[in-house]
Amino acid sequence: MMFEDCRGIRPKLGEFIDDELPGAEMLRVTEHLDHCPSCRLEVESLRDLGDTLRTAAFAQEAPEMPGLAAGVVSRDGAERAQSWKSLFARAVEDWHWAIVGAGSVAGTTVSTMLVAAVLWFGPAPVRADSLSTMLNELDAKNTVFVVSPNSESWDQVALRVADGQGRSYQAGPFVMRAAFFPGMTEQEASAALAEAIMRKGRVIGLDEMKAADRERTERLLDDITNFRLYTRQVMLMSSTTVSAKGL
Amino acid sequence: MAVGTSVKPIRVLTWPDAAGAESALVQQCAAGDEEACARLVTDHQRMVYQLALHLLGDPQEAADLSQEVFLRVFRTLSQFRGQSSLKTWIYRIVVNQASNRQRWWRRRHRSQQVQLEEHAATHGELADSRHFAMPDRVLQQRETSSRVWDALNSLPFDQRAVVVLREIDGLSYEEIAGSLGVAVGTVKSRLARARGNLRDALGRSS
Repeated sequence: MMFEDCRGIRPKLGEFIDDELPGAEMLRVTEHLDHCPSCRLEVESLRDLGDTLRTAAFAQEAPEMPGLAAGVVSRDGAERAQSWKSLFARAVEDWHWAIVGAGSVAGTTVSTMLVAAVLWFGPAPVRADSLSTMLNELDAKNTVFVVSPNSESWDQVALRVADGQGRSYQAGPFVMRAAFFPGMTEQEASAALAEAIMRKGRVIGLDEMKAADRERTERLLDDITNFRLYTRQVMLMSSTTVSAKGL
Repeated sequence: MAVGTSVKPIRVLTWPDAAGAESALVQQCAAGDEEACARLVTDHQRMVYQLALHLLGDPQEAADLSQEVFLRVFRTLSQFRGQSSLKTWIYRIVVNQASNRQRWWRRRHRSQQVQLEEHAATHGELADSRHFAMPDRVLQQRETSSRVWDALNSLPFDQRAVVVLREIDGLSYEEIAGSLGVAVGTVKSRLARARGNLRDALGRSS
């Protein structure tokens, strides 16, 4: 006789005898089996089937196969020896110094190429009018940096003055130079002026001069005035003062 | 809980020492340690042979397959990541190799197979000399055994593999799924079909 819920239980009997049912299901099947002889018979039949299989299986003696391990290991070793990895390892086993040398050469080549690339593609040298150039030149002997106001924007512009004599200013709108006597320094202009206004040990006035002498003297005065005017306006500059001036 | 019922405890076995030893053995084998390789073969050869025998039904084939299986194990040992136990992994190789071998064997020998009736008509009845001078009990045991193997061999390979792994080797559904590379649900359905077919086959032959 088959109970009403046998249909739901039968498919689970295999899992039941295999201990593969979850706890609740296991309990449900066990309770069902308590009152269902038909399903109990099915369980017995399934268990018998397993027993029959195991009995038949265990009746067969497994041979000892004493040489199996040695044979397999030997064949595996032979296969490994013929593998490309082994062949490669054997081929290069005496090459270690050659490989070290080749590695060194390769390393040197790569490093050289890297440095060359950095030099070739790296940033261009510093410009002559850059701040770093000025700061470097601050250390040079007989070189001072002066800053003069820009008449248009009142920006401060650095000018380089070589050896303090004003003869090798770099080109720029605020280069101090003698207007009437190009190439003449302030000292030379002062000496020339002193010579022009001294006559027989005394200073003479402009009115007493000849027109040409007076004009030359006035020009010398203008140049000296310009020199001194600019000299008053300029100031010694260092990297600190540049920063302080907000350049 | 109802009176008189009992629930079997769930088997939860943790065996870290065994897993560690197994992992160490695998690493030694992968590194080419011949002694470790020999130990791995010795430890598992009986299991491999018997599974091969139950799947193929022929002792010579099973012995050949055992060697192939261990060679395969060593070739692919570097791929073993320990997601399953070494045993399950080896089972999987045995099943795959047996399946391949059977396919190859069937392809090769199908044309050479002769029906028993045809053979008897040509050469006369087979002389069953094995049955002479044997005690009844042994004879009966052999006959039963023979019926069982015939019934087992009549199953499709997938069903045979699952029923052998469960009933003879005692693997859990999860281990069987791991060994066959299928889902646990597939194991359940194949096992149910295999048991039904096996019972039918044994019923017919008895």
